[in-house]
Amino acid sequence: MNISKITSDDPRLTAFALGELGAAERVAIAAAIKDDPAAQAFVEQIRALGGELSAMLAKEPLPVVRATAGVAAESTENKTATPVRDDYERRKMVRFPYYIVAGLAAACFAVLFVQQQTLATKRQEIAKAEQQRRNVERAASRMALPYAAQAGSPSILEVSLGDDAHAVSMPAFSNSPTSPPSVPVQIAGQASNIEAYAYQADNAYLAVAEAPLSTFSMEVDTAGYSNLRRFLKGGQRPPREAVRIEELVNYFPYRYTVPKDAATPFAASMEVASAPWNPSHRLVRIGLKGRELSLAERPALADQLSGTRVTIAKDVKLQVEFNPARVKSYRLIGYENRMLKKEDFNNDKIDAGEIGAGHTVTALYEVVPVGVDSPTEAVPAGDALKYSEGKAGKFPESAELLTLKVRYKAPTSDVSSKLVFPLVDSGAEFATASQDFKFAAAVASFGMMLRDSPHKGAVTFDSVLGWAEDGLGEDAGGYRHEFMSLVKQAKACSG
Amino acid sequence: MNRENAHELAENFVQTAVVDYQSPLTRYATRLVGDPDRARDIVQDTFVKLMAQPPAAVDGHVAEWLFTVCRHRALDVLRKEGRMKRFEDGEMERVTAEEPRPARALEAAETHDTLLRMIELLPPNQQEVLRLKFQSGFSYKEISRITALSVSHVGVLIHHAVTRLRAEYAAQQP
Repeated sequence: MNISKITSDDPRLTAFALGELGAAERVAIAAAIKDDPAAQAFVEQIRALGGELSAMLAKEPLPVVRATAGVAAESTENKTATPVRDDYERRKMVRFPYYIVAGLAAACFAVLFVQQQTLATKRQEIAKAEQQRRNVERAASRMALPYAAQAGSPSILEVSLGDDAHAVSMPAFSNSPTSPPSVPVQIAGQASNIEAYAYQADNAYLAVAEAPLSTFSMEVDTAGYSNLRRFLKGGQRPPREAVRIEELVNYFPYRYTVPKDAATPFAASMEVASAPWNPSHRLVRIGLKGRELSLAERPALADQLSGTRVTIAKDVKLQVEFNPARVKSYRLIGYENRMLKKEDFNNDKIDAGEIGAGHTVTALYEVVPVGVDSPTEAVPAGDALKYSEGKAGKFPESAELLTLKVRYKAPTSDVSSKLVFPLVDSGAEFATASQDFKFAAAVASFGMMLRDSPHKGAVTFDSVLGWAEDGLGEDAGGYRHEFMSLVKQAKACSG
Repeated sequence: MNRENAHELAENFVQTAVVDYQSPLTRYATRLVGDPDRARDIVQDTFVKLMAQPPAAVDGHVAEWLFTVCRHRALDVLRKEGRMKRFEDGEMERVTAEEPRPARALEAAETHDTLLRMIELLPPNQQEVLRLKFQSGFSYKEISRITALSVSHVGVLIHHAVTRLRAEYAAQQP
């Protein structure tokens, strides 16, 4: 992608400033404004304004929806932009006694919860309990929803899942809809009380004998990196729950192999070497690179705006099948809220992420090879259904570490296609790995440190810096250098 | 997993969503319909719909799902009351663009108040996406799914909003 000039009239420049672009577009725009101080100043101003807006909007009152509903309603009402209401309604509002509103609200919730119980009872026959547990965790841990925390408001909760995501403690307020829920309430964001993130525990190690298939949607938002930068530049270490490793790793462009022909939407670049934070483990990097558009395919000038986001494949789902002869257990690094059920992989009705022209997406697995002490619990003798006895049924002694299967749909198609890429582990050491591999490992380990991950092993800020430096490469755009300066800032904040 | 646990978890799923999103959704709906009472009804309807939903259908994107359904419901309410004008963007853009610029009318008293008042002079569709982005923390892509606008349209609206705020904000500075 090549953009010769970009002006402040171009929405892409705003999207760039707000961290809403994928890696390829970001690189193109960074290059286009490299020698353009006016455009750079614009970007800085938009970023500063964005920060002001987030801070200011976070302070807007949140309606308190239980006991004190009426009071909050009034204050919200006063701030409403353009209330469209005639005088009759206004008078009615004013006269209406708030305690009745509160009472009604309570009554409505009582009804709500009765209904809920009825529905839940009906559903329990068919619902898979395990699935629901995951839903509960995910609902609780939607990260990107910073909103104002009013002092004493019971509605602003950070549900702390802890490292053991099974120990989910939830408020039981159906018994008493007007009283605050009796769970520990912890407001993230310290004194400012501006942002609340729910902590989502790292994906746990899974035993290959029990779960040989790892399935997820390769959908990445990279806003997390801008967020991290904002905290660190402000001299603050970000709250651990605000750090999303896959968003950090995917902020950076990587030079992955492009697809061989126009008929293939993307190519997979896989690499495996020892995990630098735990050399007895293997680190697997899966990189997908979307096909670049040919000149003829590029949208006309008028369409440039949408053109830079041309989707070349949609509903991109990945399934990694680990070979139990080689791998004892594994964990997917990041992507905690993108996990899919294994049966979703072949279900074309389940949506997933898209890949744009020229974009790259990266995922990392930490793998415990057979013969190495595993951090997982003792594995019960489950039925290992793959490599040994699956449909393929032909690789019982395969040298392969894993097979990557990618399912995707063409942008206009409802029917998916599948690509399959096997990976053999040649036993490479981290020191001999590619620069992209080293850099991605450095970013992931930085994320693990900031999240205080139980899997962070022997990592320190200095080792992160060392690995990042080894992985700098040409660093077009200076992103990797900037990363190193952030690591130094984090080290200073943590000192 | 026994039946009792399954029952408990199904309840937890909705309860968690209520705890996490009831206030932000009520704030969003209040903005849309301009009335906190109606907004609360809308948010309740939204959670009732969530209960009827198999958990798998909203798996991993509960917030986005809730905001989307809440928005649909709010627009239904507005439509029934003949107040849809508020959201017909072309018209609102034109009307608002012809209003006098607020720049000089405002005292540069306090940054946040100034900004807030400027936001409230933006067309409603710009205000909505601006709040989804900076208040609720959704990405362009998520906003696109919530509002049924294309990602590039969302980008254009946010671009117009922030460039206008930037210009007006700059005009406020001594």
